[in-house]
Amino acid sequence: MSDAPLPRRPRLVSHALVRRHVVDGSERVVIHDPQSGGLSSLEPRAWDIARGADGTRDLDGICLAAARAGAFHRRSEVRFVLEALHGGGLLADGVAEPATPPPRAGARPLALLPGYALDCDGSGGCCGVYGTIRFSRDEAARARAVLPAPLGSDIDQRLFMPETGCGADEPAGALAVTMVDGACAFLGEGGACRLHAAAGAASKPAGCRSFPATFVDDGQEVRVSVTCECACVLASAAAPGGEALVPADARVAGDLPQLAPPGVLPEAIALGAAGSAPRRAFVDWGDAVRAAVTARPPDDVPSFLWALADAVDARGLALDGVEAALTCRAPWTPEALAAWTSALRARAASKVLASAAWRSRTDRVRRMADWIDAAARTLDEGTAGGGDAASDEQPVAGRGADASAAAYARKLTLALALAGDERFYLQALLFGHHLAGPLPVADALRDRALRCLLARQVRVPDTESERARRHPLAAVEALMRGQGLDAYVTPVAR
Amino acid sequence: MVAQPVQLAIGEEVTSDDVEDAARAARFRLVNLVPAGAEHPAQAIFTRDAGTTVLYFLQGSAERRLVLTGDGAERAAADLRRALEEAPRSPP
Repeated sequence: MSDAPLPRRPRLVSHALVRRHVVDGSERVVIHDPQSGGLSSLEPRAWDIARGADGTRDLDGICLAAARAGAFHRRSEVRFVLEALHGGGLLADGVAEPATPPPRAGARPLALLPGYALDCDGSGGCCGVYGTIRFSRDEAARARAVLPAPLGSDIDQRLFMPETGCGADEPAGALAVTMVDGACAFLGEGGACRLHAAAGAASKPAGCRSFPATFVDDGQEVRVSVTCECACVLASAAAPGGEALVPADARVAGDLPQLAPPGVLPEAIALGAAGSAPRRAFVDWGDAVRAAVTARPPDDVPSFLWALADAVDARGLALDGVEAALTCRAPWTPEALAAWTSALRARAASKVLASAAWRSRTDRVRRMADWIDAAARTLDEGTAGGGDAASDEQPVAGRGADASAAAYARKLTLALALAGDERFYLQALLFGHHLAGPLPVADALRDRALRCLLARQVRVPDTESERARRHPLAAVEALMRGQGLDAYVTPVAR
Repeated sequence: MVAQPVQLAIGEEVTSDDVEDAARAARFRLVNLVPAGAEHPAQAIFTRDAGTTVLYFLQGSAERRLVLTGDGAERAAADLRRALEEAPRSPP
C-alpha cells in the first residue's frame, strides 16, 4: 500500500499484468501483481480510465484520454481509480526506461531433451490453465484476419491487451488475448484451437506452437527441454511416437526466428548456503547428476531432491552427495518440512479464495486450485501431525482402504504413473537448467521436492480426463508457474 | 445570424460531479480541460451535436457558471437545466 501522493504523471507499473476475462458471460478486467501476489478486479470502464495512465499524462490528461475512450464520467472518479491503483502499489511516476531486448542466441546449437516427443491429445487442457496467452503484434493481426469475431460480441473489438502494464513502455510489445472462463478466446468446442482449425498451425502464436518446449541458453548451447505443466507432457514420456519439440531441420537457435529469445543462464548461479558457482560448473554438475539418475533412478524422487539440496548447501556442487541421495528416504526434519508445507498450504488457500472471488465455476484454474488446496492441506496436516504423509511408500491418491480390486488396481497404476512422472520431471528439470532461476539451487531443489510430494496428495475428480487423473503433477506445475502458486516459497526460501 | 451564448448560473450546492453528471446526461462529451490562467478561470469544455454545441464549465474563485455556445445552445441549456434539476445530488 502507498500513502504517498498520487504521482504527477501516473503510469501503471510495467510488471502489472492486466487481463481481460469473460466470466460467465460478463466482461471484467483483472490486474495481477506478480511481485506482491495481489489481484484487483476492475469494471471494463475503469480499465478504460486506468489505461490512460501511461506516464505522459497528468490527471487532466488522463481524464481527456478517458473521454476519448468514451469512459469519462467524473473527474473525481478518475482520481478515485488512480488512487486505488496507487494504494495497491501499481503506479509509478513518468515514462518507463525502455526495456533492453535480450540478446539473440542465433548461432547457438539446439540440444534437445533426449528421446522425447510430444503426444498431444488435442483436448485443449493447456489452453485453459495460463493467465496469459501471448501474441506478438503480427500474430494478433493474423489471428484477427483469420477469425475476426471469435466471441461474437463487442468484446472482439478489444480482444487483446498489452502483455505488461498499459503497454506504454513497449508500444510494439506483445499482447495477451482475452480469456473466456479461464481459457483462450480462440479455444473451440472439444478443445480444438479455432485458429489452427481455420488456417493451420502457422496461424497460432509462437508460444502455442512451441509449447511445452523451454529454451535456455547456457553459453554453449540452447537446451530444449519441456515444462511439465500439461498431462500430455508427462504422458508422452512413456508413450511411443509423438511430435518433436522443434522442427526436424532446426539445428541452431536462429532456425527458430519466431520464438521469443531463449532464457539465458546467468554467469554466476546462486547455490544457497554454499554461495554461488560459475555457470559452466553448474551446467557440468547438472549433466553429472542427470547421468547419475539415468544410470540409477532414485528410489524416491522428492527424497532425492531434498537430500541433494542439503548436499548443495553443505558442499556446493561437489558430486559426492549424489550417490547417497539416490537411496535415501525422507531426509528432511519434520520442522524443516513443516515450514515449507505450511507456506504452501497458506498460498494454496489464498489461491482458492482469489479464484472463487472472480473465476467461473467452469474455469479449469478454479477447479485445479480446489484440488491443490485440498492436497496442500493433507500434506501439511500429515507433516504437522507427525505423520509421514510426505514419505508414503505409495502415492496417496485416495486415503483409506480401497475395497474393490478395481480400485486397488487403479491406485497401483496411478502410483506407477506418478513414480514415472517424477523421474521424467527430474530429467526435464536437470536437462533444461530449470533449477537455475530466481531461487538459489538448494531452495529450488526443495521447492521441486515439495511439488512432487504435493502431487502425490492430489485427488483429481473422476469428471476430469483420464490423463489429468493419471498425471496430477501437471496440475501442480501449471498452478505453480502459470498461476503464481510458486510464490509460496517467498517466506521460506533464503 | 450567430446564436448568442447562453449562460447558466449554478448554485453553491451544485458540485463539479453534479455538473459532469448533468453534462453526460445531456449528451455532452468532455473535450478539454484548461487550467486557470492570468485572464481566465479553469475550464472544462464539453461538446455535443458533432462539436457544433459547446459547453464551458468555468470554475473560478469568484464565479462558477456554465456557458453554452453554438447553434444548439438554447436546446442544450434546457437539457442541462433539466439534468441538473432531476439528477440526485452527488454525495459529499
